[in-house]
Amino acid sequence: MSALEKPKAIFSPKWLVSVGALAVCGGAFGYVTGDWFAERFPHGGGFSYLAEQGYPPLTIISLVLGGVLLFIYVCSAIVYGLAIVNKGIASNRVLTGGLGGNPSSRKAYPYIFVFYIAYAAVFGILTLYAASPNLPTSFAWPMFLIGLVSSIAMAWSATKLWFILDEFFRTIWVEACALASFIMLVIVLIVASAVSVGLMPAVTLYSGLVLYQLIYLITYGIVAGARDPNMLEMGEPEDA
Amino acid sequence: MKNRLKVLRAERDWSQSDLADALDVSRQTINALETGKYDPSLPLAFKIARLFALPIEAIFEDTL
Repeated sequence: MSALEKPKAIFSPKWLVSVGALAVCGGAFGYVTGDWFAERFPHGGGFSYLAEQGYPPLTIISLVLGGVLLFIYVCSAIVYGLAIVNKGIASNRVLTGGLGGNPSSRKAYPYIFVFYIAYAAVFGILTLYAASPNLPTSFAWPMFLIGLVSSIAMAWSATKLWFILDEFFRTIWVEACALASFIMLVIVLIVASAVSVGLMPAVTLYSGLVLYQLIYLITYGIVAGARDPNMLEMGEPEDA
Repeated sequence: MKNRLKVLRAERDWSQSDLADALDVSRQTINALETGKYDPSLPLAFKIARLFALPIEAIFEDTL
């Protein structure tokens, strides 16, 4: 392959088949879970059930989105865990968030795995307490300790990643964090103003955290997509 | 900022991976540099200049 051959098209047959297979799996999963919910809640879906339990609408939305985020973090931990031992998964740039199978990325996967495990643990605890605020007090210290250890593990793995990944990935990370933080700051100021003057009910910290994570995921996708022209290619791109 | 990385690399018949290994960066970094999606830090620009034995201005061109 000469050095100047054009890169593969993003919408290659392999890519389309993979996306199609994911769509079929997603559809099947949606059908099965939808059927399960329909049987379990014959008079309404999960939203209605939570509303009947007395949860405010914003908390219900946060809990549902938080559950989706938690699912994403657990799946990410599994994928990066598999990427440590499987070169095929490591070189799949869509699954690994654009990192691919180059040596520095492969060195980073164990730390990303730890990061997502810890993230899922902390966020899982927060989601649990947001969904069931009246858990027994005997749970408090164990949960706090798990959260503390997980948070320290997150900080440790993120510091390691900062030095392992090269400046290109650090730039994407910094830009995504800066953009997400600024957007969140504007939203917080607007919401805080609205709450202060009584235009809307108070918002929980959990709802704010869920919103920030959604904004970060979107901004990361935009920044990484703009910086990395081959981010959506399944395998390593041919030389541009 | 424009650069001549792709041409310089092709002259030496190097792949993006070869260049990435020589500079101790990822393949994605080289790809993003060549396609103009990313401008390197000064240390990386100096490293590239040393590798090709050229002054920085001969590799990177200010488009302003």
